[in-house]
Amino acid sequence: MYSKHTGLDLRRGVTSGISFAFKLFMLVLFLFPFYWLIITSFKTYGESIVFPPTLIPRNFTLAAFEQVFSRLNLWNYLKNSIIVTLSVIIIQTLVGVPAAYALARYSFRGKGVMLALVMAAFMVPTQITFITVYIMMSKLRWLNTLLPQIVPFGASAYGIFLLRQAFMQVPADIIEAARLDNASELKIITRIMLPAARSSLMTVSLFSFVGSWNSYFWPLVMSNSEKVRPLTLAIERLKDQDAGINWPVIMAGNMIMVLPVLVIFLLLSNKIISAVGYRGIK
Amino acid sequence: MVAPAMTFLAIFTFYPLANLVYLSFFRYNLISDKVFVGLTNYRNLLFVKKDFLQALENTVVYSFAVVFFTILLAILFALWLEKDSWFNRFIQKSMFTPYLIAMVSTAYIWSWIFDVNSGLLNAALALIDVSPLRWLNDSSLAIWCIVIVSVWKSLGYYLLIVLASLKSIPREIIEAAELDNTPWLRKFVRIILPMISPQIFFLLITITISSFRVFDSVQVMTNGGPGNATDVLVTYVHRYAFQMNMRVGYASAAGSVLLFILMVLTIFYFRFLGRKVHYQ
Amino acid sequence: MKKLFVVLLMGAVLLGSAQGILFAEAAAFTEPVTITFWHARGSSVDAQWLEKSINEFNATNNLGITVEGVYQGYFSDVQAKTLAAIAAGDPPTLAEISCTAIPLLATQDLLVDMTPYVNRDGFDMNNIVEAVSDYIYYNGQIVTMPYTRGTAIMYYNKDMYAEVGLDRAPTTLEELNHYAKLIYENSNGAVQGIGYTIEANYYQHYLVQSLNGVGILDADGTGASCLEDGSLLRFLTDWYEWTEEGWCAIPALSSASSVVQEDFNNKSLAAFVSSSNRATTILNNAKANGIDLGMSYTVGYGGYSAPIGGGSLGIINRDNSDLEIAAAWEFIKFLMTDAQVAGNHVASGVLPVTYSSIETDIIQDCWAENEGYRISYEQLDFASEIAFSPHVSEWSSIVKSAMSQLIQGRNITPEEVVESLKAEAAMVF
Repeated sequence: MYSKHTGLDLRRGVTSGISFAFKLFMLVLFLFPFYWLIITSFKTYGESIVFPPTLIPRNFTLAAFEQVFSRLNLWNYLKNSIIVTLSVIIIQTLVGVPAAYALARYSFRGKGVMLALVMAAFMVPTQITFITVYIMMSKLRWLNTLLPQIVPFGASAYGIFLLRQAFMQVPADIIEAARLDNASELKIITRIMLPAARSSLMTVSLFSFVGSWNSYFWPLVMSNSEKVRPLTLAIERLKDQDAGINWPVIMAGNMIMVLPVLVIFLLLSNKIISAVGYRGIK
Repeated sequence: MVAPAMTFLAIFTFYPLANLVYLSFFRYNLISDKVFVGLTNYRNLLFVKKDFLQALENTVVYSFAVVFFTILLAILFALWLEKDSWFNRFIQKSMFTPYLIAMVSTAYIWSWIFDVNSGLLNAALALIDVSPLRWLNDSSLAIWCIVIVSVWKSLGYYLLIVLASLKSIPREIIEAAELDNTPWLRKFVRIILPMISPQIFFLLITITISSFRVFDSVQVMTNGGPGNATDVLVTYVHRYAFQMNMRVGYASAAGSVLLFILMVLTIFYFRFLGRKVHYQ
Repeated sequence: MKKLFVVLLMGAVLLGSAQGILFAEAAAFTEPVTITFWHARGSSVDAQWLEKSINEFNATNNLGITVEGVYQGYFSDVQAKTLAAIAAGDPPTLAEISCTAIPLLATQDLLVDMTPYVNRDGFDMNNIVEAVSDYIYYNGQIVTMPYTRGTAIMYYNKDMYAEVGLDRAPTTLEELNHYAKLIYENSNGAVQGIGYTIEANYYQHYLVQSLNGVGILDADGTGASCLEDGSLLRFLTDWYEWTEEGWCAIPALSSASSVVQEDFNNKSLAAFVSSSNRATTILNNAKANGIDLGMSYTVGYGGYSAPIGGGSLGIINRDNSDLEIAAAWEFIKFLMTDAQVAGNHVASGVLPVTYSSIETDIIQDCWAENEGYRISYEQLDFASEIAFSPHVSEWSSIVKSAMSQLIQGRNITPEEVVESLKAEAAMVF
């Protein structure tokens, strides 16, 4: 009896030991690239191309960052990225919330078709629509503004879909009660629906944020001048087509781009994790 | 209330789609006049040129691989990290971070990991005395390298969804099974899997669709190469529309085929959703 | 009497309009004008030079012209964006267009004929280096002016080649290959002797050209006899074998040109072929890494052979006002002055495109200091351009993809490559 118990403990100990080791391995697998990004940006060019690579910079230097700042007008790109990202999130919310509310709570003619269209729009990759949109933007003479990076994303099909799912979870009698109290639709949305769909709203905003901030292909096509280009394109510009890639400079640039996203995530990670998971099961 | 949203979608999604299908019947390079050619573009696409079918095959292989490995790993990791502890939560967060990073940045890191001469993977292989592989340069391996990066990048996100659905299984059911001393595997297959199957099916469809739209990772890591070993439908459309003498008509035909596939998948999705609602 | 008057009048009108065609009116820059210039010069030395040129022009021209330079990515990006912008009705006034794209734009009549301006200002076309003239003229019109033109240069590690017994530059491909192989064998495979990136209409063009005289596209631009006469098959078979034996480096899939240079700086590659336009950068990097860099003529089968490539300046004739076009011409004229051409050459290594610029102290001093820079110019005697044809762009891209499948993908035989190219050729031409 006694010995059996310790045997079991031992086995448990070994399994959890293996489990722990494997978890550490997973951490390395998922975090090492970030570690790599960070340390490379503090290396000298010479050190960045030695093989085998060094895991800790021998000569810790800020030269790469200095070069990024001297080669790029970073504030311009940063400003563009921030404006585009915030505008997209705000417009998508303003457009998406009422649509999702109507699709969740009203029945009207053509609702089925509209739902189908929203779903269908979600499937369409931008790479097969961009030529027509480009010509549209060009005719409007918008290509030297930030608008082509914002306006086409005014409605997010995925966002509408997620929000609708969340609104449908709100019990009908709460809304009926509010209506009996003569609450306006706006009040119902802001006081009842949005708080109830908080985590979905957060997920949707997170996706908009990540999608806009990281977008590369669309602004590449939709911008004709440097003053309207976002950070992603600027970082790509650090890649010198004629010379060996200067890894520290590239990584320093990428770090500047990745940092805001990581900081936001670290600050909100618990909420984001539960919001993403929550919306997944609904 | 739906009007603004529908207006945006109509202008920026459906009109361009209609235009895409329309242009697929023309020979057109944006500048010279359109010449109506009927189904010629489709004939060239499907029966004359071999590269489109290659791109289609690559896309299908890629999609199946991504769907299979993402779902399998998401379930395995979810079961393994299910217990609510500080450490498990930390791992979940770490696994989610790649999802937030731009593909452009991700590609730099992974291109270096896959590098033939100075890459991390070949350095690791050298440690265990295995001769180096050519990874992205190897036409049979390249597509799998892209699969690895895609799975790595989005696994954390899907993991969270599976985790949440696991947590939604009523405790009593699991406890009852534990009292029964049911073997782990049977417990999983008989009890847990059926309980989370609606979410898994949801993931199956969304991952399939997003895989058919893959573009960024291929474009930045291999540009479709070597040869056209990693050419996928979207890079194909983009290349013909923008690089090969702006053959917009021909590219539109390729885009229309992609659209058709996506539509079939969408309808499949609807059927499923309809059924799910029915069961509730 | 009346008849005579009409005839006279008609004659005057005809003469007037003929003057308009042959001699542009002296443009009246009565109001300030800003023109956009799309180029492919990224962030290295050549971009800094261009920026300097633009700033200087903007500050010194007293016509009220402001040039706004916009970097649009690689040449292929500039080509795609320019075509899309023309289609959309909002093109730049001036664009730096690669040789691959010039025929595409010229044959669709999208480029301004500069002849009237050349005649008006007495611009000396004979001063432009003969070898690059193919891509200047189309249908008797002057459609571009050479700017970022270049030839390929063989960059090699002098010490490594000297070590295996070659203490000068190779003069034939056979010689190069012999020593490249020796380097590889002597280093037990640690150092590869030579590497080519895949630019079908540039590097591979000159190698095939040394076999068949025309390269991957026929002189008339409407066929590819290299598929039939065995020259392409022979080259592909050889190239595959070189890479199979290991001494010839297989190019990387992304940023191939950067990777080649990185390997060269790492001393794991003894030689590579790259554009003269990168000379300054390559030279600086070699110096920083303690490499004694040799620069020499590129070699083909049996002797010297080199490609001419790069990009030129073209004015877009759609949706640009006469004033904008005239302003673009003023800027081009500025870039074609001796000081600019010479400075452009010295800054990055691009070909000096006018005879008079070569006489300047700027170039003579540079050449005296570093022999390497004169290579791009001197090897023009052996260099050739791929035929001017609207098919260049598409055909090179197809050939490049096939070569990539053979050399990088390695799951196809050279014979199969040639067969599949024959099928593609039937569709292109």
